[in-house]
Amino acid sequence: MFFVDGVRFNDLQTTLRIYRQQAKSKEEVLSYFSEADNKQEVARVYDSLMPFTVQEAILLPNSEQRMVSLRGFEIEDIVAKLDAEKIDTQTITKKQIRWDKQLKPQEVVFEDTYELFKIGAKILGVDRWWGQEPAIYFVKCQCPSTDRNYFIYVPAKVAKENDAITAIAWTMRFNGVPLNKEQYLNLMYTES
Amino acid sequence: MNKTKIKQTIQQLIWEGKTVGADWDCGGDEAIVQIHINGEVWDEPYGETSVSWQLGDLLIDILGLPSAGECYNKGEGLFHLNDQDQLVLHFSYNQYYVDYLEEKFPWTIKDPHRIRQHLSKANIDLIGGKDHFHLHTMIQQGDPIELPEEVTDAFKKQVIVLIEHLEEREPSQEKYHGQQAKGFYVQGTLTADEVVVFSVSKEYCFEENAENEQVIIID
Repeated sequence: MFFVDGVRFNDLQTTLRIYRQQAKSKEEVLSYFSEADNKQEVARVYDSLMPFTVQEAILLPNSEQRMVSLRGFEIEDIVAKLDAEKIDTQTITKKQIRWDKQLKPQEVVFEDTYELFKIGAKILGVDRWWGQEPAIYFVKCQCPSTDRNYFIYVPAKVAKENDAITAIAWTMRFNGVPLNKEQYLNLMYTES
Repeated sequence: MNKTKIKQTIQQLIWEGKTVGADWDCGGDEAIVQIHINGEVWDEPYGETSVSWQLGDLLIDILGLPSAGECYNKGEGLFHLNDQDQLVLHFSYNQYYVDYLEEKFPWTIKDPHRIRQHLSKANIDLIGGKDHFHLHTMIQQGDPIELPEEVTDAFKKQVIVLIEHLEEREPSQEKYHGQQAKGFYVQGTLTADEVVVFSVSKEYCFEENAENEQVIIID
């Protein structure tokens, strides 16, 4: 048995390919192995191995293994490698009051872009579900405070309206009830 | 709970000249109370109408017998009827509970077998008390490691020295609710540094004994 970030894998090659994907040097990886045979094998094959792919990671049977092996990918990579189809893009202009370091309020106008994506579930290893080909939907947004991109799951019944704003509205709740597009556009004053 | 029925039943047994008593061993996540007739356990099937089970529950409530946690109460007693015809219990008990205080304590740990070389791939913890020791390795990367018994022994000896040091130091330490620690448990993670910062758990035991106490069980 072998370990990556504390999670057990049964074969050496998968373990080494995950390290390759994480761009670990051969010297570092060699320091992880104690058995002479394993060290020898690492030294022999490591540089020639193909890095583990998103598709392979997604198809691992164990959820902890999937988590550990996907950790090395940027979210944008995962989206790209899963052949995500962009269904809708919408940009809205927002006005907000923000406070500077001297706590002086100032109006900020900025543009916020939302993108709605679909991934065919076949690529995730799910063929058919109740006679239909299922899909996974998510909306991409950018945090205005940190500029980080987020990809948030939305259910099919919301995504099927093919509207990125409806999708992002659904991710927010008021009294436990998801917002609709109109509420999002008219009521949202601040978000994070 | 039918207190009238319980009282009538016990009353009848006492009038018949039988001795009705109880003993209990409660704490550490369970509360066991047994009712006796003439020294024999009153073995009724469990049920809401069972007198012995209801009487046991009543004792747990009235005596405040513990169940969860590290609080223990062992005791025994006999039921009587007093002048006002109340059902009373004459009893004795021993109650104690355990509390812990934590502190950090740095201690030098030598590594004669050079197991620190494995720290790039494993977390290695030293966990123990005076009577037990565990060298816990959790592999994070690569292949497993096997540590021979002499490695464990080498660390165990050092942890015992640490615990003896803590015991010797204890009289100079501030008391906790009038008590000094009676047991020490340590946990430390090996790092590249020779000095390991241990979490020391100090155990304090509080005990209370009572003889010939009396309490009204049912008016």
